[in-house]
Amino acid sequence: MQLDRTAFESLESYVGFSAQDLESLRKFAPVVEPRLGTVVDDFYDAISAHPDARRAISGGVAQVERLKVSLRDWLRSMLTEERTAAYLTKNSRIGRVHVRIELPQHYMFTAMNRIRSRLLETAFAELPHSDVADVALALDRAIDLELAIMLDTYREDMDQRVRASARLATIGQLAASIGHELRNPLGVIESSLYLLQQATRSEERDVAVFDKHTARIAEQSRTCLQIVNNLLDLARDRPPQLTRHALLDTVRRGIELSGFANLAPTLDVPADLLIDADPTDLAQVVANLVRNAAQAQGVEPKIWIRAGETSGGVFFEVRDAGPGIPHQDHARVFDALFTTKPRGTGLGLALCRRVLEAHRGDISLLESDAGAHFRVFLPSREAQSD
Amino acid sequence: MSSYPREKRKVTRLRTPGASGKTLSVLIVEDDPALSENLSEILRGFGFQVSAVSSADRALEFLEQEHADCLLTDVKLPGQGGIAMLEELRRRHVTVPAIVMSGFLEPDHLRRATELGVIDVQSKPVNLERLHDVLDRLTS
Repeated sequence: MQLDRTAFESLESYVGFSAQDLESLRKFAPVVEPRLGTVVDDFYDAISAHPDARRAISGGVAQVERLKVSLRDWLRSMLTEERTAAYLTKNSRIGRVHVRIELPQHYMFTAMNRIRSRLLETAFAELPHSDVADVALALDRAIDLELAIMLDTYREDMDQRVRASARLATIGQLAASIGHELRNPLGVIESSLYLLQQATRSEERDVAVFDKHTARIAEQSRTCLQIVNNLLDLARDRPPQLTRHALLDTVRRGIELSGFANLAPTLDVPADLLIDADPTDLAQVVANLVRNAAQAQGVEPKIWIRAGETSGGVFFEVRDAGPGIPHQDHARVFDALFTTKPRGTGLGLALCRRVLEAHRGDISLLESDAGAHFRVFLPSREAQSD
Repeated sequence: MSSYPREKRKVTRLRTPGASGKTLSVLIVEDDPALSENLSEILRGFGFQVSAVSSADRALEFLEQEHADCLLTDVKLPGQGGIAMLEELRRRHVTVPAIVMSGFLEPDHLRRATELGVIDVQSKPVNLERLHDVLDRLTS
């Protein structure tokens, strides 16, 4: 975010820069004009004299010449132009040049001070005595304002870096999480292949062993695929393709997708209950909720799915008889990468939330005495198009 | 499949039980049933005696009752993790050489594992040849 006009105005009034000051500077501008070359040369001499500051200027003499031209323009505009939005934008751009060449902030400060001194010296030497005080004060205020603009561009740059590094950290976590999650099924696949090879070479040729391991490999490949699909779904950003259809169909499809259809969740979903939703996305939501419910439970897992109409739309709930989710984790369960499973990428519920947001709906974890209890709300089409 | 050359396997199989004449007993701590079963089968094929449990708590219970010459444990387990389990064993003064398996070992875990005298750290999928060698060394 660039320093906005309001912030700039409040800064102006804080520094005390007024129309009067601009008048004084405008009077001073023609006086200092013949000396601007010296001021600028002096500025870059100081930078070149210092190894750390010099490092920022990598383009050699040609770059210094270009920078000198822009410094001279900048000085001229500081001495003559109205402090408008356009002025602010232009000077922020100059600030950004210094950020881009990575001139350390403290050199920027001392450089500005150097300019301040040279300009003041000129004012004292060249102006009639009666004008000096006004011009000196105006120069101080003007340069303070410029410093504020410069600092703001540094802050802006810092913000961007922080955001970029946060993004990188998330990507890193995501990569680690996915990598970890894929290694387990891969471990099963590799070891099953090894045992298959052994079985092939043995004289018994036990068909049951072949069947067991091929089934195992197929199952684990599906797990890998599921992980990859979840990741891709999360990366994909397309608007939902809304169609009116029976929720029950999507619920059944989701149960199938979850890989836990054998648990035969108890369904209390009216067959004539219609929803306006993307059937693929919503089935994915059901699948993730059912999978979580199944994986949270040990022997004899129980899953209940209930749906009905509610004000403004349709709801459905998925409830299980597992240990439930600790209260302190409730706020984070929908965050990407958050997981309570020993094996989990923390993508499933994040994906659910994203789907529901795209539908302008909602998914929440309800307080429950037994098991985890999720509730999904889908607005009617009328409500979605509002 | 380069991790377990056939020739090596044949040779090593003949060498177990080891010089002491005793069969090495391994306790697998792994919550993924398919992986646990596969590893059990493979280690039995190597000639080791194998038991398997699915959590750190079960492993601690097991070790109270029975002896194991070596632990092969996952890091991520339901409830207490593999590293915490090793710390608990140390508190109980139970000394069992351990091999740690993990999909992704954070530097922190690795440091703690080393401090706890872990004899090998394996990333998943497990390198079976190396696993065999490490276990074999315990036998001799």
